[in-house]
Amino acid sequence: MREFISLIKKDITNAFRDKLLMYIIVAPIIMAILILLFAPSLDSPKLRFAVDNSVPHSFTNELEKYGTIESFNSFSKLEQRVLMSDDVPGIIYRDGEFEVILQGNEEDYLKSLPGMIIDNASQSTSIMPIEIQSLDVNRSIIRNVLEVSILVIIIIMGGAIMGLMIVGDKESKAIKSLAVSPLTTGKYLFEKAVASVIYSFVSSFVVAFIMWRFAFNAVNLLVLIIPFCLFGVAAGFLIGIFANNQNSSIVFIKTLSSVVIAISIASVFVPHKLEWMLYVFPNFWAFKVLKIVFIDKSLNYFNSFLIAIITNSLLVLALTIYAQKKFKLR
Amino acid sequence: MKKLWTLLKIDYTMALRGKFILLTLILAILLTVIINFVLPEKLNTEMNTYILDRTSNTRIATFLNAQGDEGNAIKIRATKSEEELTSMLTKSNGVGIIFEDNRVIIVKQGYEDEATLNLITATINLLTKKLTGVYSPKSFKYTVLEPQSTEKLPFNKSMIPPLIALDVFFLGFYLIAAMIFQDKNEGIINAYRISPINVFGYITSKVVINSSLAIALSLILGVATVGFHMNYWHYFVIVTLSALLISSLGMLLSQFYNSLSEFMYVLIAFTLVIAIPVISYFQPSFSVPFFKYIPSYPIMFEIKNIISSAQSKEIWSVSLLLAVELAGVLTLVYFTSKRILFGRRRSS
Repeated sequence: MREFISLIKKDITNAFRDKLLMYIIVAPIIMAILILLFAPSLDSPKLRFAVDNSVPHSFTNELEKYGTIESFNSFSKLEQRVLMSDDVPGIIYRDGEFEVILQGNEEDYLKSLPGMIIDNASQSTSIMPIEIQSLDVNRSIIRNVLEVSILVIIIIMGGAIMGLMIVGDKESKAIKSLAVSPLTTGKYLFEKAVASVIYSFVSSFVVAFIMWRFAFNAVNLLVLIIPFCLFGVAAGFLIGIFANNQNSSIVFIKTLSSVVIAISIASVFVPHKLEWMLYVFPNFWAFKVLKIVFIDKSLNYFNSFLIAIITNSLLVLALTIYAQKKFKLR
Repeated sequence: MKKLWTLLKIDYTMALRGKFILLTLILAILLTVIINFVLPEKLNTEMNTYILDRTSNTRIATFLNAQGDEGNAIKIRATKSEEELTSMLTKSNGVGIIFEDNRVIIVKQGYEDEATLNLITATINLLTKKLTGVYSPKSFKYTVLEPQSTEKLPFNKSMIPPLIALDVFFLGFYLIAAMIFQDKNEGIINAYRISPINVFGYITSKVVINSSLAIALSLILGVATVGFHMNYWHYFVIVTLSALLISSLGMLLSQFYNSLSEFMYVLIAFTLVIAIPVISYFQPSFSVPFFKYIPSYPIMFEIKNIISSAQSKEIWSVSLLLAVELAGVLTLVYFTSKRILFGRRRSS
């Protein structure tokens, strides 16, 4: 236990010396604040319309109810605006008639939208009374996915930083001096894993609090954190065991991040009958838990959660056994 | 020139030993498999509106079925009960509309803004007017500026631009940072300080070697997924300028840090900023003016134009913008490298 505490102390001292601790503590908070500022705009994306000055003011005022207006005083400038990469339809008024200017590659709904607004502006009185009821959902699925993705990145980051610390120990030859101490490889890796898990838990709860205040389900958050924490530890061990320097660790990080992205894309798009091809990847199960809890909002996560824990733990165990042979601490 | 050539050879050897080239090949295979075999060609990404018809004789449902989805500003899906409507709304981003004989109820999620609700109200107004026969269409006409650009890219191919902008170009960003940290930690920069190698040669060599990996990966991916049905000259110009720009940004930022652990969060924050315009890419009506100044925004749209073989009028203006940004970043890299890496102060 004493060895264990002294190792944690050593890591914290090193982190303070390298200003690493400051980055590790401050960076997730900054990321959460950035998401907090930007994410609300994802709930209701605002439409934009390019409107020529020839269009009557009464119609421009009506159009403002549906989106943001960009005014133009010449047809050629309006045409240039419509031809830009984003989807912004143009509206002009010529010979007593409205004309909708499109580039041609707009989404279908956007092609018919200006016409519908023009139609509605001339006869906006409702025939039937319209009432509005709310389900009281406070964020869109796209915003939810973005916020949960940030949490997942922060959870896995704990493991990645731990992996880089092991690489640092190898580069500075600190690991060789540990080999002559009573420390075993298992204890060394366990200390690193515990530090990474504590960091992932604390930082993800802090980030969740910044993004959602008290409006989050702590049980759901734990169900997300535990499998991804284990996956983060496995990823950290992979980096720490196989990378020998900064160059090779970045190769591992880039490969791992690409594989993680590929598996998450595949878990969404692979047809159900071919899903078995992904069962071998521990992160697939962690993503399955994420999808069930945060996207489908279902409580039926137990089986996937259990498999995620088992597969990721087995990976951590296998890497620990391999590390014992490779590091040869004791 | 000879000094630059020597530096290029050194950095190439470092890239080879560091398995950067192996990584490039692994990524090329992985991305090709995802685009060609995992992603579907068709995907419905539009917002749905769920309808529950409680009117006598279910006249709304009959009318909507007869009309179909074609030409509607909102895609409509029918439901059989309020429970089904609520269940569909819980799983999607849509809104619900319940039609009764004497009123209409909009069931919103809760996060929609006024403009979205106005749009739904306008749709309901027009629908009820059409049903009651009091609808008189306003006269207006459509002009399509580029009728040839109406053909849509399959969904899997439309993923190529964001994957190139966010994954492929970042290869250079990651790897250049790794090389800088390696040079700092192993004292190579201290050795360069007392050698005839100048700052310009050092920057050029690093940027060229790491960008060339991203360029090679983009070209392999282009051939493996799109084939030869695109303008490779335009493609090469855009990917070269983009890869050089992102690698230079990697060099600019990594100089201020001493290790990869410190740099990780900068890397993630930078990736997030670069990733934000992806929202506009998949929903082009969601246009935020500042997106245009994020390099990934014009890059993604221009690569999309090139691979869809659309007659892009912006290829040279986008290339010019990227070239100007690249010149600005390289100037900054030159002065910061001179001060931070090659200055009197020790870098590590």
